[in-house]
Amino acid sequence: MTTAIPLALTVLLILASVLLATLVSSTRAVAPSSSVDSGLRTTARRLLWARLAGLSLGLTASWLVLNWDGLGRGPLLATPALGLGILFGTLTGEAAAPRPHGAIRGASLEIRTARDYLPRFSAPLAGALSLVTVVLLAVTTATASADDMGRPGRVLAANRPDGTVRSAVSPWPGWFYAWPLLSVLAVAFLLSALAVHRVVRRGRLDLDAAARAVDDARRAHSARVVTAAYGICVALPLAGIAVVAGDALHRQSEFIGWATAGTCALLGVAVLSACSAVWYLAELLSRPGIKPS
Amino acid sequence: MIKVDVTSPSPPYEQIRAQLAELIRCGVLNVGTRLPPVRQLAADLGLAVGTVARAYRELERAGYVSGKRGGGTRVLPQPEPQMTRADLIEQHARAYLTEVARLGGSAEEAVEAVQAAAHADPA
Repeated sequence: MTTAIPLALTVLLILASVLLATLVSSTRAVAPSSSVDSGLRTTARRLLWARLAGLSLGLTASWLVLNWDGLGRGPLLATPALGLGILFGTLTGEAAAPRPHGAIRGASLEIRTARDYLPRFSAPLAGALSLVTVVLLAVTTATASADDMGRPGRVLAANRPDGTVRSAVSPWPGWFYAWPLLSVLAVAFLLSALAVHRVVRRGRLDLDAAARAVDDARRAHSARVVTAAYGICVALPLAGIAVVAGDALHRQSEFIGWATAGTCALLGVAVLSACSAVWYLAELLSRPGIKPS
Repeated sequence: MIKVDVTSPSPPYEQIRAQLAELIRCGVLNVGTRLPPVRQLAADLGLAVGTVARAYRELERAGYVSGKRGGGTRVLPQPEPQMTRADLIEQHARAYLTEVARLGGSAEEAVEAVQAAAHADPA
């Protein structure tokens, strides 16, 4: 019974993502393959293989991390490990894209920026989720206490005036859970920034207008994958933290006055984060394409 | 659009400098237009960053552009009267016809060659 609910939720989340990915892909017209330059095809192939290799690496890392300890840190870091694998794969694929070669080379005088390629909804959403995660972990760390084994930042305790513990509930996402998650998120952010920088700055082959549009669409897709991988790194752990913190607050009878409001707010954060995770998973599964214009 | 022939006796930085100077002189690149970042142009042309940086430095020295840290490289106002784009195309056409005539070709042959080249490489 205890494993059936998370399993059902995971299956539901994946199904919703696949459905959303199909809908998102159908709104993006795919460029006719006959007009695509061979250099672009090589780039696309290398990107795809590198991403798949990254996905395999991420799944393996995720599986290994899942059983890290029995105190909940493994499941907390499993999704970020998967995201890190995809980010690493995307960065490797971008770095392996063919460079301009040949005797005569051409370049346009356009200026490419990250803003041209980053998705307008997903990227700010990932930023907002990161901010909420940092603020929530700062609050939970500040209010956490050490558990009965002396591990700091693992329980929510209510103390008597003399400093002794009156009641304590755990797990509580204090420093014990915050530091590994924040460390992994910092690495994920760094990898995302490097990958987006590479998406923008990697050399553009000498192309005609139609092939340039395809190249732009591929770069935008890479930026979307990077944003989605980072978004998954943040969204699912945030949902987990919010649920665990909400549950602990609900069980801590000493804070009866404001616990209900706090629990409702945390559940709201959890629902929004879970919906964001579904969106990011759909973005990861969606196909690259360009608009007919 | 900038083209660089790496087999040409003229070094790549000079080819970049000359083409950009021409685009600025004939007004294709207006006052205040920002040039692409050195690293981006170098990556697009498959050249070393130092090559493009040298071309930008030469343009800055000649008063075509001004480079500011964080603000990019922008086109400066030009004191001499600007040659129009049409004038420049005509000038290149005349030079091409002169070369064709030197090889013993006619104007018709020159036009046919241009049409064939345009068909092969629309850019």
